[in-house]
This record gives sequence, structure tokens and C-alpha cells, in this order.
Amino acid sequence: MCYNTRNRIISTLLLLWVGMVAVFAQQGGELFDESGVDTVAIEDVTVNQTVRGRDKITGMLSGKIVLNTEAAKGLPNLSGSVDLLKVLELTPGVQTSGDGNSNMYVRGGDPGHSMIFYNGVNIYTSGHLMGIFPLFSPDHVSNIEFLKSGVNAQYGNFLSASILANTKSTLPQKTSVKGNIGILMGEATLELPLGEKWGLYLTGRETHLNLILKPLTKKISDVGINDLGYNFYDGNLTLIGQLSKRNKLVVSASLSYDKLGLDEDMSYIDVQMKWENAVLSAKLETQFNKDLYLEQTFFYSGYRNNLDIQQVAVNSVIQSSIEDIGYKNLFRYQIKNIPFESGIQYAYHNLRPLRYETSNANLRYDEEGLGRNGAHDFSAFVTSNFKITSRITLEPGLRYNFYSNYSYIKDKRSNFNSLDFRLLGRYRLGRANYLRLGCGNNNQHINKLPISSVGLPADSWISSSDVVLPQKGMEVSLGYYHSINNDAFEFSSDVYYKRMSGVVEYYTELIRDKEMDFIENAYWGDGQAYGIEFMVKKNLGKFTGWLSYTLGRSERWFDEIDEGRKFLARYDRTHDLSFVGSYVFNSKWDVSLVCVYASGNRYTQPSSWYFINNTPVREYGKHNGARLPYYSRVDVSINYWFREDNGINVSVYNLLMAKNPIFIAMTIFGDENNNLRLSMMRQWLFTIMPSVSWRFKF
Amino acid sequence: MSIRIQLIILLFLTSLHSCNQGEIELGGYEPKIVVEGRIENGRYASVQLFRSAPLSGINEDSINLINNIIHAIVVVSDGVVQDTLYERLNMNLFPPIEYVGRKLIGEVGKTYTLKVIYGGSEITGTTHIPAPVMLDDIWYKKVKDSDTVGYIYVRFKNESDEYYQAFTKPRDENGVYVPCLFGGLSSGMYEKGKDIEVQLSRGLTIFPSIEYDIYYSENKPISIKFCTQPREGYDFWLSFQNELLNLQNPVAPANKNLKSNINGGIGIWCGYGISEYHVNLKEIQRK
Repeated sequence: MCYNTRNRIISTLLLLWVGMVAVFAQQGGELFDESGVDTVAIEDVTVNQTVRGRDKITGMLSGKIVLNTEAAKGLPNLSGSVDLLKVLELTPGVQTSGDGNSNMYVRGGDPGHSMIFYNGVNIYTSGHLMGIFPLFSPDHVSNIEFLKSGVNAQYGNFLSASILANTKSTLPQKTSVKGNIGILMGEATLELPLGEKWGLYLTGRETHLNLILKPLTKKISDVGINDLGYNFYDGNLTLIGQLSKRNKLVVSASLSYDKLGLDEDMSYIDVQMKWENAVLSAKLETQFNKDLYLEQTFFYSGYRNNLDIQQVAVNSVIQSSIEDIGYKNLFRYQIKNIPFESGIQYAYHNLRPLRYETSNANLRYDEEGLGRNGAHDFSAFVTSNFKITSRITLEPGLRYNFYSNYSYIKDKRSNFNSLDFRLLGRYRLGRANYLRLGCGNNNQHINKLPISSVGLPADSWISSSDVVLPQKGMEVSLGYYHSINNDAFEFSSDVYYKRMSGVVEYYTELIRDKEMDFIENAYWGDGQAYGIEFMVKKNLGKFTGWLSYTLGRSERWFDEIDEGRKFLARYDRTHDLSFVGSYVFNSKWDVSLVCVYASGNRYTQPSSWYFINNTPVREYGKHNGARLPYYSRVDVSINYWFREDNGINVSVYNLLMAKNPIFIAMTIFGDENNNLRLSMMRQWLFTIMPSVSWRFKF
Repeated sequence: MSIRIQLIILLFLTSLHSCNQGEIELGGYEPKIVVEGRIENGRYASVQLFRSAPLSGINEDSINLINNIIHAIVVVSDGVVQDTLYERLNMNLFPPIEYVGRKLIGEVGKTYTLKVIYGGSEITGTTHIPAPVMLDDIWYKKVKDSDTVGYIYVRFKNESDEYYQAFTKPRDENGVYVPCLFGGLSSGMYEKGKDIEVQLSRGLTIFPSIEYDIYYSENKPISIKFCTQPREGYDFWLSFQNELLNLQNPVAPANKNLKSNINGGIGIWCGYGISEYHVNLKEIQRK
């Protein structure tokens, strides 16, 4: 796309957004009361509503979405437990990832551009297999904050979003056991007061998928996935101790283990995959007085995966791991009644990406890939928010980062310094409508290499070094927010532009040899993404929910790919429309509906074919030059409550049995008459998936 | 919002999903000139030329979509002698036309350039013939004693500084030598001068028969061509293998073009140092 066309599109989006703002602004009601009373704080308060159907998400005003896990529990789910990260995909700017993919794609970014934090600690696994099982238990995590596009200087170093999963932070008042048991998974959470000053939350989950579904496994799609076995279990612990009136200790642990076996006969492939994750933290919160607060956290986070592939006579093993150990703090204080937050963060990253082991009847070799890397990662940040005038509120932020990586294989150290800025601003137009501005830049040193093209958790984290440049991003957004009828309805819209450099494309070649350097398959380039987002939310009444739409484009360009021409990113989705609705009939019955309709992902399609050695082979066309068919899905759930927190959930995932392909392969084969045939094989993961679960609390 | 309006919205949203998922659209066709050429020690050069075909139309029985390029000027040179290749029919090939030399016979150690002039374009490639390595031993081993199928094994000394590739074909059938599955090796992986034992598995092919089995049947007489090759040949056959095996791999589907050393086109122009053997598998069977 030429420069002029891109500018035309951006200008059109801006004009569209301005026009829409103008229309809504006319209905803004009374002008702001100059008395100076600000009825809405910049940080929306998380509302712990127990009324079903309401307030699943809040924070539209500030642009920082907060997902209330209690309210979201009634939404359709596959496993008996709602996937909170999948609910985020139903909000503007978060692209539908598709079936079997638990990565997050925010505003045209890559999967590694967004980071999930568990009680403030990086968690490197993106989830359990196929997106069926949620990463977090909604009984243990009390809310999820979604900070789009680096709006908070405290959570920097990633180009797209920060997703903060926060466990409960108050002492349990009484002993209880709650959870749910479904067709695919069971989980239970124990809430246990330990005296007056201590309390414990303990959650365990396990899937019994193999027991129930394995005997029923049959070929999926036209390809013939013969055997599919999967198991996972995880545990979460949160121990809270009110040490004194001013000091609180929160010790948190999250451990998970997954194992997948896949036997596919068309590629003569047998895959065994394992991945494990551990996050441990101890946080001390000290409230010196109402204006002075200090939070200190020591943490450990580790993730590793092991992909073992037996293909015909060759066995390949690919292993990757990353471990962090560190300390961080957050200091809240005021200077002349202006609130400030600042802190320092240190982590030591120990990375061992892409260790290959290949063997067949003829040879065996090991290869360290990039080898072990050890990196010191130090950051310091400061942020504030204050009113310039009665209408204008600003939230500036600065983040300094020093990153020093040591490559053991090369015996070489590489250092990087960066200073990132943030600015959030709001302008109050009327009593209930605002304009907001966001801009900032980011530097990212821990980068994610997508090994699997279909979102399987085989990805590898690599460190910035002399050969792997840091990724850099700059983003600007303009937003409009309008509350109608005292928050009965909310409307929000944003237009954004993001520019990135150092983004990576990686071609995974399973057939390889020792002479193939990792670098040969990795390419670095630049990218940009732009779009417009809309969200309309209904908060009151028996029927509540939201409609979300994103029109966006995500482009990349690499010198080595397609001769430097621009191409669309793999997960570019031009249109992404989501609808979430809940209807509460009475205290016993409620239903929820989720509809998703999105453009298909991009893929590289063959442009022609020819014979080599009497065998047809394909010549590929433009990188990501083709688009998968559009993605659509309707989920429905019905809840019957015996009493509060005790009921039956019946969900149907993909009610209309849409066959959404996760990839397309074009094969050319000969039939019995030696006539050639082209087969367009669409591989989809699952169609209709019912789920019945019993939610209980004692 | 009234219940009527809510129901209308609901119906509209669900109706979106009742639409056809959509046909897979084929992208633009970009024809390219394909060269599959080889020159072996003691033999004339052989080159196939065709134009790559569009994906649309394959199901119309139009296998002639793959058209040989005929009447091209194909010249192979060793820097001194120029050999203009002539066209002939070879029913073992598909498509069946090849260009064959008649002046230059491949010699070990020499470098050969290929030049194709066709339709106003000039396509070139360069290769050399490494010194061949002889097989010291060949034997056949069944998968199980009760089976009638198994693998072929070969042993040779690692005397080359380059790369190895094994090809096999049934001796009593039409067809071409097919590269063995995982039959390419780098000499750098082994100690120089040491013995190497290699297990040969049948390579993938669809012509003349679409039936494929990784094993060799004990009843089939087999011809083995054991080659040394330069790096470009090794890369090419490795990428060829990746393309065939991982076509529908759900973990990492093949989506990269075959490696090529052709300027102005795609394909391969490669020199091979060959040693050829014809065996009856039952006669060389070992336990």
C-alpha cells in the first residue's frame, strides 16, 4: 500500500470518528458545572456487583477495562468455568484469536506484544490448550484489568497491552468451598480464615477430558487427526496476613502442568507436547498514612515447554524455557496534593530458547539454538495525574529501562537503554461525555517467537542481544466516551495508530539439520496498525450487555520478505464484531449469548504449482497474501440457580456449528486414473461443543 | 430498550452466522519458469523446463496445465566447451520432454554453468560435480521377520567434504530416481574417513503410482544411486522433503518455497558425483 493510500485511510478513519463524536457530543446534555465538583474519578472503581448480568466490565471512561469475574461467571463457557481472557476478546481492540489459540492480539500487535501479569508478576504461558480451559480460575482471580497500549508507566516494556490478573486481597470471612464440576473439568476453591489476621484461598483444577472424550475421539476434518489426548492440572494459592494495622502480606503461588498428545496420519506425525508454568510472589503492602503507600514484591516466574515430534523415521525435540527472579516496588505519595506513583523494578531473566535435538536412524545431534542468555532488566518509573483546568485532566508517565543481556554461547554482553513516555489526557465536554487522548512509546526486550502457526503453546521467548534487536513501538489514540441516562448506556469509541520496529517473523521448519542456523528462519522488520473501535454497553434492566466493533488494519514490511513490500500481519482482521448479552429472568434463571463475527486471519497461499522429480510441489505467493474464510460463532448459556453461587450451567459453544478453519492446506494428488486433483483442505478444531456444569458453594 | 428491539438485534446477529462460511478464494497466479537440471559424472546433462501452472483448473483433468517449455535454447558450459542441449521425449518423466546434452560429459571437479534463453528471458545457474563416494556395503533388513517389507542399509566411508544424497527406484518400473526420505546427509556431521551407515526409506512420489509406502518390498528389485552433491543440492532436497511431509502438518505447515540456485527462475541445477547399484533385496537380506 502506498504512502498516499495509507494516509487516505487514516484520514477517513479520523473524519469518521470526528463526525461520530460531533453527533454524540450534541446530545451531551448540560455543560460542565463550573463549580469544580468532579463526579467521576479518573480511575474507575471496580464494582463488585453480585447482581447477575450487570457490570461484567467497567472502566470504559478511562479506557482501562476492568473485568469483574463474579459478574462474568454466567457467560457461555466450554469447561464449566468462564475464560476471562476470552471475554476480553469481546471488547474493542482485542482481536478474536480463533479456535485453539489462546494468544492475545491487541490493536494489530503480535502475540508477544501483550503480557499477562498474575498479581503483578509476568506469566509467560498464554494458556491451556485450545482455549477450552481458561488460564485463570474465576473463583481465585477477583478481577482482570486490561491496560491497552501501555497506558500505565508501571507496566511497560511491552508494545501492546498489559493484562493484570488480581487475586482476592481481603481476608476470607468464613470457611467455604466453592467450585464447579463439568463434563471437561472440575475445580474447587477453599476459602479459609486462619485466625483473625490470616486467611487462605486455595484452588485446584484438573481436566478429565481423556476419560470422557478419548473413547469418542474420531477424525477431525478431512485430514485425519487420529488420536488426541490432553491433560492439565493447576493450583493457585493466596495467603493473606494482616501483620499489623498498616502492613499486609500477600503470598501467592500459581503452578500448572499441561500435556498433549496428537497423532496425525497425513503428515505421518506424532506429537507429544508438555508445558509447565510457575509463578511465586510475596508482596508486602504498607499504608503509612492515607497519602503514603508502599508495596514491595519479591517474585519468581518460570515457564518451559517441550515439543517432541516423531515424523516418519525422524524424531525432533524442541525445548524452550524462561525464568525470572526479581524485586519490584510501588510508592504512592502526594506532592502539593497531586498524587504520584513511582517505583523501581528489577528482574533477572534466564532464557534457554529453541534447543533442538534431532535424531533418525542415520544420525543424532543436539543444537543449543540461541543458547542460554542471562539478562538484567532494571526499570524505574514515575506517573501522576492532575487537573490542569476544571475540564482537563492529565496523566503523564515516564519509564526508564536498562537492559543488559549476556549470551553464554557467544560470551558477549549487549546493553540497551531506553526512556519511554506516556500521556493520557481527558477533556470533559459536558456532564457525561469526554474526549480522551493517549500517546506513548515502548521498548520491548523479551520477545516471543511464534513457533506454531496455529497458536499451539510451543512458542519461545528470546532476549534482545547483538543479533536480536529490541522491539520498539509508538502509539497514539483519540477516544470519545459518553454516558447516557445516568450510566444506563455507555458509548465509547477510539481511533488509534501504532508504529512498530524490530517485529519478528519466524518460519518453523521441522525438517532441519545442524547447519541450519536459527537466524536463517527469523526475519526482523517494521509494522504499523491503525483502526477505529466502537463499543455500546447497556448496564441496567433485565437485559444487559455490549456490542463491540473494530475496523482495523495491521501491516508489516521486511527487507527479506516479498522484496520489502508491505503485507498484512498474520492476525490482521479487518472487521471484528462481538456481541455479549445477558437476560435475567428472575433470581433462578438467566441466559447469556455471545456472538462473534470477524474477518479471517491471513495466510500464505500457493500461487502456482509445478513438478519436481515427478511430484507436484507448490510455489507460494505473497506472504500472508490470502485470507481464511470469515470467523463466526454463537455461544449460548443457560443458568439455573438453586441459590446464590449454587446452580447448573448449560452452555453450548458454537451453537450453529460453524466450521472455522485454523489453517488451510492445498494438496495436489493423483487419483486412480492418474488425473491430478486439487484438494483445499480446511482444518478446523471443533464445531458444536456442549457443556454442563454444576456450580456449588458450601 | 424494548424487548422487541432487543429481539430484532438478536435475530440480526444470529442471522449473520447462517451465511455460507465462504469459499476459499484463490489468489493471483504468478507463472514462473521452472528448471530441474542435473549433470552427473560420466553422463550428459539433463534439464527439464516448464512453466508453473495456476491452481485453478486442476480438477478439470487438465494435467497438461503443466506445460513443458519447448524450443528454448539450453546451453551447458564448462568454461571451455559449450553444449547446446536438444529436446527429446522421455516417458519416465512427467511432463515427458527433457533437454539432453551431446557434447559435454560430466567430469568430477569441474564447474558447469547452465543458460536458458526463452521468451526474451535469460535464466542461469552454476554448479559443480563433487568426487563420488562408493558404497562399501548394501543390505536389506525386514521390519519384522514375518514381514515382507523393510529398509535398505548402506555403508560408506566419509571421504567427501560436501553432502550426500541417496536416490532409489524400482528397477522394473518406469519412473525416476526418487530421493530417499531423510536420505540427505552433511559430511561435516561425521568424522572424516570414518564409516557411515545409513538407513534408506522410500521417498515420496505420485508418478507413476500414487501409492506410497515408506518401506521397500523384498520382492522388488531396486536401483540405488548414491550421490555426492554441493550445498545447493542438499538445501534443495531438504526443502523438497519439508514441502511434501509438512503440507498438512497442524503444528507447522510448510509454507516456504523450495530453495533454488536458479537466477531468473526457480528450481535446481545441480551436479552429482554418482555411484549406481542394482540389487535384489531378497539376496542381500540380513537379520
